[in-house]
Amino acid sequence: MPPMLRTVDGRFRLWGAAMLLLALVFAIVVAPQLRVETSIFALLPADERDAGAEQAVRVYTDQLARNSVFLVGAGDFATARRAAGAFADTLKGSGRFSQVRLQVDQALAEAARADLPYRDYLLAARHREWLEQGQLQRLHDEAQRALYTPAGFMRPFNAAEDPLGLLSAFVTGQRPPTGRARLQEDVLALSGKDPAGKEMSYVLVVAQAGNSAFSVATEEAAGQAIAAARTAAAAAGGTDIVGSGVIQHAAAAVASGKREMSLFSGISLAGTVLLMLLAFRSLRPLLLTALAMAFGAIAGLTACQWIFGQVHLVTLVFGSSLIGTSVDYAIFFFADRFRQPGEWQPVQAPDFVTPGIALGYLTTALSYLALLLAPFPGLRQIATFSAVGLGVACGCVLFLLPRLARNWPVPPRALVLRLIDRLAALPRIGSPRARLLLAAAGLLFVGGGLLRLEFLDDVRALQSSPPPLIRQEIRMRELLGQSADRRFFLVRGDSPEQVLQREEALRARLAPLLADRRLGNLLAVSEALPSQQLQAANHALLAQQIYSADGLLPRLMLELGYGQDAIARQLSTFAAGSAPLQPQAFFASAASEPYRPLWLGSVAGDTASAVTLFDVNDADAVAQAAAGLPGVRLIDKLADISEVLSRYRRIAMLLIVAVYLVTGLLMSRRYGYRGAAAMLLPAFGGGALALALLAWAGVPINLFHVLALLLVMGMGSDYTIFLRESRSAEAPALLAVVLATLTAVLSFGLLGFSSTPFLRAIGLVQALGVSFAVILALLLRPARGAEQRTVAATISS
Amino acid sequence: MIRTMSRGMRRLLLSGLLLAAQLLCGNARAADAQDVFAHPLTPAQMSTLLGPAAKPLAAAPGLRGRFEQRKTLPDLPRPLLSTGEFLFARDLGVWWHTRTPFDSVFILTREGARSRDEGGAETRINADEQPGVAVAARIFFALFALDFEALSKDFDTYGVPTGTSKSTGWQVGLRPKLAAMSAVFREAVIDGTQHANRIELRDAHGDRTEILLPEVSILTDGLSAADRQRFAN
Repeated sequence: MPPMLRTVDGRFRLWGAAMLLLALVFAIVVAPQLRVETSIFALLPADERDAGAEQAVRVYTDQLARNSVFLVGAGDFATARRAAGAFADTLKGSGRFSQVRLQVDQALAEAARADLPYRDYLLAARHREWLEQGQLQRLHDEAQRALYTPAGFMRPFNAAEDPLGLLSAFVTGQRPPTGRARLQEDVLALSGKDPAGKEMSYVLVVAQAGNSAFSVATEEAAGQAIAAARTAAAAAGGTDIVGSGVIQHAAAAVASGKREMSLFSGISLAGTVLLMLLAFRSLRPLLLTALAMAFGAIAGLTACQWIFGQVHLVTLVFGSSLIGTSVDYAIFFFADRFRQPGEWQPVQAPDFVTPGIALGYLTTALSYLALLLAPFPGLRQIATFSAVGLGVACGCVLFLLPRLARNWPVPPRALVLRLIDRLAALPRIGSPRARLLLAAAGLLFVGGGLLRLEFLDDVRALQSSPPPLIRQEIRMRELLGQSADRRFFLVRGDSPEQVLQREEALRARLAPLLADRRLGNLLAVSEALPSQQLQAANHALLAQQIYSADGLLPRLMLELGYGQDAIARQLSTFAAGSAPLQPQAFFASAASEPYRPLWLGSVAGDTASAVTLFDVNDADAVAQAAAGLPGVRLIDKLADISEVLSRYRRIAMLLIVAVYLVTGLLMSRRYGYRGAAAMLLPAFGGGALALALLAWAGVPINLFHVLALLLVMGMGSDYTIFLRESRSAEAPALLAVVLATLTAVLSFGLLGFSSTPFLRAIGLVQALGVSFAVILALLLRPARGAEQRTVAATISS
Repeated sequence: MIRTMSRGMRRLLLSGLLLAAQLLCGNARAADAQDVFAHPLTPAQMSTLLGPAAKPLAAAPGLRGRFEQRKTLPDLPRPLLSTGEFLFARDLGVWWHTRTPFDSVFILTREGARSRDEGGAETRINADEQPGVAVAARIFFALFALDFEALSKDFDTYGVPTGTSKSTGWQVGLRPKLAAMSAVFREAVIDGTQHANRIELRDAHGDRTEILLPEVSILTDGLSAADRQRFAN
């Protein structure tokens, strides 16, 4: 050991300097660029098999996350229209949305006209099939019907522009993603029932969040803008406003995350303060503990920002409960005071508390570090934050407190002294028979529980939204009459052209499924922008069968009574040639509006696009459709998540065994094999009891419950170590353990009330497991010699 | 009966009908079609103009009659003629049976449009899934019901009375407010008395469609089962 570290003063100076540096770095470098991530996707494991796909999926989900759809409803259309106007104006005025679309009339008209210059290259699938199979009569009859019957009025192009209806069919073949909504006046509207069953008129408003990166601030602001827009719409007579979109869920998550963070840390802090004041009757230990916790938190944030580039909201919520853990070391330190209440010297305390605190931290850190093995970025952050934060807090206790702490007088009749005596008098199960009985009862309870154990590896373990938001999503789906499926096809290729060709191959496979409604609808860029290859084929078909001298067009025109010169003009216009529709022109035109979010462009060296599916009624058939198509993959994030959750739940169970073994080996160096086993028994038993209790209560177990068991091991063994290491003075250790348990159960118990399901799972298991572990540790604590005296007696002597 | 007639006879009959229709609408013809757009009307004025005349229709379950459609296209020397019969049922939709030059049934309901040809093959016209194009179906509907309140939402409305002292004739002009609609037609002129007698649709490219509705009777009773069957799938 370097000489500097050998003395209390040397360690104090070095660690103090390090902490000052840390605070400086945090204030100057980290804090200004601290980014709080809220997207639930950031918590999810990355796709390990296909990094390119993972990246493309992320680009796509990011784009989707920006879109929000609203239906503003009222009893009659005029009121709904007015309310939707107020809604859209408020959203626009907020500056939080780069695009708010209410009036669509002009855009729809432009979108249809945008295809006109490329008419010689565009064909509906049905028409192409007819031309390929030479079924010209059908096209002829269809054109005739449009000329002689009102069927012609249902076309976006009239007979003069589109005599055969080829372009009309191409345009109308693209089914928009707006479901049942139809143009009414200049907006998209639909009629439907409100929750009370009253017939209502709804007007569609589509909004796109700005291009700035997602952050807590922008999501909060967007959430506020939406709330303000709702108020404005309600004031204008809108009685039922249905919203859908990731941003609302994110805003709700931010709001509840913030609420929980302040509530949990507030209660946790207040409880800790109260306990410390009660126990130590002095402000100084409290302030010093707060100092250690603050440095721990700063270190945790800095590490997360540095390693992950951001800090997830969930980490912060979890971190707020870490207060309860980091305080343990300080409590243990100050409880040492009761070893010699009169003559306690803080500088001597490290000699007594260091082994306990260091070993305690080591086991806790070991269990947190085991979390790093799980591929969940959210968990990795929590693990990093906790291990680093606790480590620094631990260092502060060991290196700063000996210099900064002072002994302080405690009145002889203080509550805490009496409490310590009470604790020391706690019953201990010492006789082998009693221990056997306890073991048998425990085994029965745990065994019965394990038999009833149920697993549920579902995304619901990870994410939940407030029920009102979920109800709104369901209503949006019902009102629009269609819903985008969570599954979609990811199409990749080495060029835009290859992607479009691959999409076309996929769509050809999906066409029969669309025909018999096994698939409701799909949205793909290649519907509106055919590949150059297909456009060339279309052009060739048109040249050969329609615009040739004996083609369908001259024949029909002749039949209708056109003069030869008019016919010749049509043919020569086609012959004069035009250019096909190119991706660049397409994406710049109004026609591409519904398709832009699908085009992911260049991702990881490839070009990628998404094909959205609506109303998947036969999932197997849809999944089969892509089989064997190069560059096409069905992405089902939820199924992937379930699969990963279940895989890692199994791994985590093995991990627990491994961590117990490693910790046991580590401890056996100090306590021997038997001793180590005895030390781990309370933590192991506590975890098993907690798990069994959940099983008896019918709670399905997921990965996060299992991971929490790891943490129970870390914390539970802290307490046995504290008890064991303070052999010479049991009472202070008992006080420390009881205080530490109370603060830990308080903070983890609070997590049990989180709206984030996996925090809830971790909090519940931790609170139960740690409580059980401490009870076991107390019941089974090693026997004490005759030298034991009450603290009150020590003081009075 | 018409089926048994020779083609020439049918032609003759049709031109006779056409002539009769033109005579019927004589007053309307006399008013220059351009003129009507010089007389903008508010929805309230519109109902004053049409209200008394359209009263019997407003109470009736529907209309039935014959139609003749003439489509004039640029560069086409002769207009395209088609004739047939139609049935408008307020609660069901429009059934449009073209008999010449070929047999085809066009059915427009609130749910959408479909066509059935002589052979029996039915085509759903999927334009009704296009938010913009679906407007056309709604307007067609409103034209028959003389629902000018509905029409005034999608159109700027114009109108003049054309009646003599004895009859209550009117002419109404419509210009789409919607860009999506004006792609299909630029303006419409409707002449009528108790119901529409003549509808003329003009578009920006020289397409002009004139629909004459002679021999229209306003249904007084409900629809017969056979008539209802026409709308069935």
